[in-house]
Amino acid sequence: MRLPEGIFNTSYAKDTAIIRTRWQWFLFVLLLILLFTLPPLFGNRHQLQLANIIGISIIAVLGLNVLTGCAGQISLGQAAFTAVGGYTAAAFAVKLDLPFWLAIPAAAIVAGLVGLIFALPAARIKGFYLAMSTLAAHFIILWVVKIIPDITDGINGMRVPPPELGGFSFDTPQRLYFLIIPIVIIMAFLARNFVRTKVGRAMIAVRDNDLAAEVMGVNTFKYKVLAFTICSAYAGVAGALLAYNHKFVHPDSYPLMDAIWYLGMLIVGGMGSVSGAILGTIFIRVLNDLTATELVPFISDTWPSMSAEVAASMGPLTFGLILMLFLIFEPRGIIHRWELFKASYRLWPFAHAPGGR
Amino acid sequence: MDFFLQISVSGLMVGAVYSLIALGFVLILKATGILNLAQGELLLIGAFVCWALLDADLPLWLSIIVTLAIAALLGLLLERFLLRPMIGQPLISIMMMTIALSVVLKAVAGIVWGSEPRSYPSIFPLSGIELGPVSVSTQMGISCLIALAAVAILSAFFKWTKLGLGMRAVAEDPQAARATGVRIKTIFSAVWIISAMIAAIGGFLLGASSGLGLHLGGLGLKTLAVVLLGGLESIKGAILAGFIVGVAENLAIGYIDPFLMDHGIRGAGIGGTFTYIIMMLVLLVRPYGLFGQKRIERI
Repeated sequence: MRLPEGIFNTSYAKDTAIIRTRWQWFLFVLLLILLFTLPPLFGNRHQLQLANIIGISIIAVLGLNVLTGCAGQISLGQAAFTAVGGYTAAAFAVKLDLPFWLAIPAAAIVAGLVGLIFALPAARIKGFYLAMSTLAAHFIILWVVKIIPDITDGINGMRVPPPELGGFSFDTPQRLYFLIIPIVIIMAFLARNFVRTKVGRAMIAVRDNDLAAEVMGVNTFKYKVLAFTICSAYAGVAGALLAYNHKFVHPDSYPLMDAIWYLGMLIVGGMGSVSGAILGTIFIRVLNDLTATELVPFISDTWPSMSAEVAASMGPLTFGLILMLFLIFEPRGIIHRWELFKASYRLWPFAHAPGGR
Repeated sequence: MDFFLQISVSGLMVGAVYSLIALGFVLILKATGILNLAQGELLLIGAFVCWALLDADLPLWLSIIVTLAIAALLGLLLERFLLRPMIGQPLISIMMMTIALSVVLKAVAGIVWGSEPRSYPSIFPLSGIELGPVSVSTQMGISCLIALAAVAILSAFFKWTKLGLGMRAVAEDPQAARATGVRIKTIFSAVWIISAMIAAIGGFLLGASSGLGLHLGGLGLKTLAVVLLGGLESIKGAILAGFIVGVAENLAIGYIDPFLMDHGIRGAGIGGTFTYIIMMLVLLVRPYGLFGQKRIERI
């Protein structure tokens, strides 16, 4: 990573730090303070709900980033794995009466294990075959959820009690915000660090050229399976939070469309980058919210004959069009544009770095 | 035994339509190397356009011709403006493009026609045909015949016309095909046009026999099981696999659904899931399908 001019690493600890300069520390702390004060103090109910959904989606997209961005595998099964996480958390909370701080890790573990089971055949295949197997996994998982009513209450769905900690109940969007955001920060930190570990680097090697990776002694099968497991575990956490957020789990609340949205968020943000995944999720979710709150009322005011059907289809339509535009004009996502901007800003007024760096 | 025969035969009828839809996938995959995940939504658009034309009191033959023309135009535009810029991009980007396309097409259908289910005016007579112990609805029989005819025309097209031979050449080796004077861009456009037309026919047949609604889009993904079982790039594989999957799915619905009901499990019909179970089994046991080339990489 290039540092700004005049900043040099003088120790190993500095070399491995994620936050490199004083200015970055300042911004980071400022961001944390704003994150924990602004929305809960000034946001209305709708904005807080949006913030919660963004936080939950970020976790799911971060998991997808490990699988797709790092290991280069495609998955259409992310929605089903959030279902596994949601149902695990719900079953633990309802049937076993366990607190949320046990139910959420349990959701991660169970979703990870289910991911592992489906990864064993999937990690042997590539490209279209992989997309098909994760697609099949999506429908099979949701069907299994329906045929084990002893655990999941089948198609009736299950009511999920609000998470509680020492008598404090996270029952409003504002209170849930304080549960979700710390988990998002922890998961983002883990994801950011993960790329730099041996495992993360091995996955990137598999993505860039699996044959070369294998020749260098990277066990591609093992790392692909691991990537699937981690991806599903992230989905599990997201699913558990989603269950607490909706206070209800139902087989139909995890449509294939959700998996497509997660993939779209990752691509719009920029594959392979944690900041990209976060930016892409925020961008798409806010855009979708603006579509629902601004564009749809505008359309129904201008052409009153348009029905409620239009409202339901407008969100997917803008999402699909944005995704197409990004794929054609900026396949590397928002984060790539940001990097370009940063580079040119640092070098201004010159066009290139001295010595062609 | 009669029950078994009955559901097998109706499975064969559905299978013929599956074969036709699968051909749309196989064509694009074979010639351009792209798995078009929006095939189901092309089918949906075709079904709705034809319905809208019939609803506007156009005669059946004219509606079908106009639908085919619109589908062809749609295929041409999609290839030219969405898929051609993606040449050379990584596989995941191209696949996401077809997924984005499916999202947009479905949303457009939702905006224009709404999500309430509709039905075609009764084009085919509602009576049944008795074939020994089994009876088949005339609608299903006619759709099956039309699907088979379309498959036969396509096979002839690939065998004897210059364009069809060109497509096979491009599928075999794009470089060599180019060197011998085949225009690859023309071929790509033609492939998308034909696939969109096939999807429109499939949509019309399914819409006429089992009702029209946004759910038709999901049938495209279901048919991937047929494509996979047939071996991804094999036309005869897709045809045979269509029948196999159609019969297997109907048998599963006929025998597993009552079993689930007996055990008090409601609302978990296997109809929507069984083809995906087939897909998973094929991937586990024989990823290259019945007639596919065994060149799948196993690292």
